[in-house]
Amino acid sequence: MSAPVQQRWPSPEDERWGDRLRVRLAVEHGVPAPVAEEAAEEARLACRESGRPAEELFGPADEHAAEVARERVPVERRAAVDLDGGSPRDRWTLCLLGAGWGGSLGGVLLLVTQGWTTPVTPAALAVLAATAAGWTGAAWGVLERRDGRLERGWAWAAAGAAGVVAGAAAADALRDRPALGELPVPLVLLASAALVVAGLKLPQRPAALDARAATGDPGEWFERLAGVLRGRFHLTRGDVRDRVEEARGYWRDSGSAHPRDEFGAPEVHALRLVEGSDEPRRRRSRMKAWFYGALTLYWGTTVVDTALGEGFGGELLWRAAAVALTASLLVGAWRGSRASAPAAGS
Amino acid sequence: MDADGGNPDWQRGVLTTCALAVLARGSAHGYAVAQQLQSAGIGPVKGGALYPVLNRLEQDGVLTSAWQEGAGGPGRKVFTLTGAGHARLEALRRGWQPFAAAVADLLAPDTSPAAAAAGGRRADGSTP
Repeated sequence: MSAPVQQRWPSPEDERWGDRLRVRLAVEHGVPAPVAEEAAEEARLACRESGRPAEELFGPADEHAAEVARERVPVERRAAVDLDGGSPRDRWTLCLLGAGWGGSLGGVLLLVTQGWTTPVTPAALAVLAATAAGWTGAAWGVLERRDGRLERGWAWAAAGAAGVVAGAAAADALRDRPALGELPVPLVLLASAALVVAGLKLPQRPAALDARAATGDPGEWFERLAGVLRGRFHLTRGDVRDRVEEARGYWRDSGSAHPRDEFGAPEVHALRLVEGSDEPRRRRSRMKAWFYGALTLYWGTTVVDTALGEGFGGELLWRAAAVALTASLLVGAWRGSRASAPAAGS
Repeated sequence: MDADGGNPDWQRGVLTTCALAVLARGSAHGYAVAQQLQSAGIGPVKGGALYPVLNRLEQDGVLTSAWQEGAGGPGRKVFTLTGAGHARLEALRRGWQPFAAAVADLLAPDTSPAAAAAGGRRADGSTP
């Protein structure tokens, strides 16, 4: 059944604009669905009433999305999440989804390469444990870093790396041990699907500002400001030092009892300092480009190695597919590092 | 309305213009800018509102900054208006009078007979 005339956009271009607005609000700015719907509905009504296209009335959808996020989402809420709308409170969701998607991919690969069952060897279990440790350490480390907890971020990354090394060493030591049994591959796929569903259904507490930094001693306040500027907004060390020192000087001059009296919560001040600037997103894209560049180089090397050692075959094919995937991610990140995008700091 | 200098929305709206005007009188650090704004009657301006504005102006090339050693305390970042800043302020000065006049016109009580008649009736059509 088609929508009533009153609820339709005046033109397909306007409808595409409205769809992009909703997606940008939800994905990039973490705006709640009812707020995004309300913004799109208001734009649609304005287009109908004025007879002018949405782009002409509100500008590009991306810019309008940034504006909507700035105006309608309380600054405390926007300041509690990273540029992707994430916070350490999402760590279990990330774990479940990561395990679920990884398990699904692994299950499909097993199905193609091994058939309906696969032998469970101690070495394979060690590799699985190493992968889980690496993923958990990397994901939680990134979340902590983006929350401004740089040391905790490094600690998780180091723990993940240690897990990978220990798992790899164990796998090497156990490689000659016989299989413990056979595992039905559909069971792997089912368990992975269950993990994805659990991850999507897991109730999420809304992110909140760090109360201790706002009420603790002034040193903690400045430390938190530095952490958020560096970890979440990717400012250079020099820029972070500059921002913290200017705030410290102002606070001393003002004679206020605590920096929060002049600047509010450190996360809020950090957000206000970068709001309207696309530099944090560009820097984040640049970091991603380096990461994907390293992955592309690694897979590219394995492709050459496989081609020289084994010639052309299935092995070479999937390695080449990995190169193509990481290279496309690299190009996307590189483009993002050069593009000028509106930032709401959400 | 804030007793100390006006409506917070107005203050937010004119903060960039007023900060430029203060810095056109001479280089100053952040707190000195805030003090001059307060003594000019713009109202108390918190550092959390002022620094995002000053940093954005600096990124736009309208201001430059330099660190000055503090006496015993932390250094102070002193802001100076650039040539582009003077040009922008001049453009803002030119546009201000017509804008302020337009707002004043809009805010002036409407004394036309039609407005008087409308003011004499309630929204439901009854008369007070």
